[in-house]
Amino acid sequence: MGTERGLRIMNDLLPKANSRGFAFVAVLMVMLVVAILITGVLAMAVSARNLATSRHEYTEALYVAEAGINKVISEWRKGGAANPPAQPYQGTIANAGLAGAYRVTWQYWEPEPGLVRQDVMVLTSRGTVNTGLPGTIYNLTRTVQVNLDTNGDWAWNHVYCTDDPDAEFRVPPYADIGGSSGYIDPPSYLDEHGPVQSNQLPTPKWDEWEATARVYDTLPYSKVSNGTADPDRHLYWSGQTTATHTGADHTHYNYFTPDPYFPSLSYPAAYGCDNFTVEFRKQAGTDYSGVYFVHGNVIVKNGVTITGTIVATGDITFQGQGITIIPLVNNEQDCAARTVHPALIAGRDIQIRDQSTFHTTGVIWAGSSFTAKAADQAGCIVSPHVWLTGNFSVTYGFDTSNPACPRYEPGSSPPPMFNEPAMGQMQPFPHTWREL
Amino acid sequence: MWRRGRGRGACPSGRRGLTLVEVLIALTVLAVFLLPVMIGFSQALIATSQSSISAAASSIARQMIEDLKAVSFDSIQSSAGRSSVDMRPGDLFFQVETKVTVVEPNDATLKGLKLVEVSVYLTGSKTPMVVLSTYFTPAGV
Repeated sequence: MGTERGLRIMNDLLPKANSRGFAFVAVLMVMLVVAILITGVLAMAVSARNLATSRHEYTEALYVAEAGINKVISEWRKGGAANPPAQPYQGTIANAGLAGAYRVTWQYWEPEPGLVRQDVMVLTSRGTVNTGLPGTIYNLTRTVQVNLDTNGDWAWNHVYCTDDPDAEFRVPPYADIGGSSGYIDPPSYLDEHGPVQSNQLPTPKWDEWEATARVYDTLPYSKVSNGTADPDRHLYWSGQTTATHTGADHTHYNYFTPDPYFPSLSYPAAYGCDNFTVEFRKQAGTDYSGVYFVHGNVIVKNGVTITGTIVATGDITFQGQGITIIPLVNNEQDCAARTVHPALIAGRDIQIRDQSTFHTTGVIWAGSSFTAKAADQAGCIVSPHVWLTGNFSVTYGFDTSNPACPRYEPGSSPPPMFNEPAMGQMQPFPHTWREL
Repeated sequence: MWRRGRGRGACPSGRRGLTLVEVLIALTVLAVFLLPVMIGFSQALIATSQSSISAAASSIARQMIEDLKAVSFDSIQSSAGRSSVDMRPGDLFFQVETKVTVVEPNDATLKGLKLVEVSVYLTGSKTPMVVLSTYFTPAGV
């Protein structure tokens, strides 16, 4: 039944003796089929083109966003960490004549609700491109987000070493900070590898990033030579309660190691500067601040103010009035992130000579001895031998306002030593001392 | 000369065949419609090929920028003219040129900022097929 019906339909379709224009109908049918095919091919071609263009825009937008991040960091450096550019920071960058636009915003990192890390910024950059090509997305946008540690990388800011690193420290010292003017004057020293004058420190240079030596150890035990038994400040003076030492005579305090001259002196029941971690980081901002490493001895003269830390493998000697060392402090509420930089670290002796005045709120560590002969002040002193012959006070100025942070407990390990920059990084410098 | 009619033996079945005129008209109509179709085919093939080339050029540009990220900041500098890119051994279809402009100088505070433009050309072409631009700066603040 069905077969007969199909034959009838086919018979009707077949040209009859009187049918005309069959060729035209056939042509129309062929054209219809071909048109359908070509439409599909064209659609695929257009789709492929649009896809390729969109993918390229997608790539462009990513690099425009990254460009915004790097531009903001560069602007940030101009004004210093304390003066970031106004946000949102916007700009354009050309791509084949077409401007891609970036828009950067930032905020403090908040790892968990209520805990704000002010030393870490979260930068968000949105890159937008619009080629205007048909089939592409109008104003295609991609977003890049980075965390920026404003403390910078781990590094020494300034590294100095003797001409012969293997030789014993020379006398006179190799690094001589200050003079009659006092402050280090960065614009005066433009030599990339060292100062014009050999008695003053140069400015930090970009290639100092290569000096990556660092200290990152919890101070195993610390020692305070003077101070009150204030639990908040965690300062202790063995056997005394006064905050100021006024002894006029030569006095020797031995806290850490048995002293052959005063074997009867007992160790303090408790001692410590606070809960702190010794960290050295490259600091952004002013050129006359940072962490100074000297492979040798250091003399600091009149009126010098350094925001940072001086580290010397030999002696540090203060000869002058109004010398101030302001260590770097990071009073993060996050205990793990809290850092306190020491003010001075000397492999051997630290001396504050006659008629000198010295002030710091930081930790002083001397591998051999600390000697003060005049009215001075320090945060706390850590040394096997402490000699005080003049008025001396200890004021530990770091904020310890977060009681949740664990207190520092002295250990039995030896005092921390710093890692010197690798010798291979030391480059020859034809003056008395040189900078890496 | 040509005669229309029922020729003997021309259509034994008695049906009239297609005349030459009908066939010509049909072919003409077909040609008129097929011409743009063939042009369309050609264009589609060209567009597909260009899309493929463009995607490859974009990948090359992206690869070049990523390579620059892996080197030290000081090593980022303009290339000496164009250099050929081997997509496959012996295939020198693309050329790449890197242009680096110092936006901020290298010093202790700024630490430098460079504008990097990577242009990918078809070999022999004067205009770049793809250009990617971005800023580079050393890490840290």
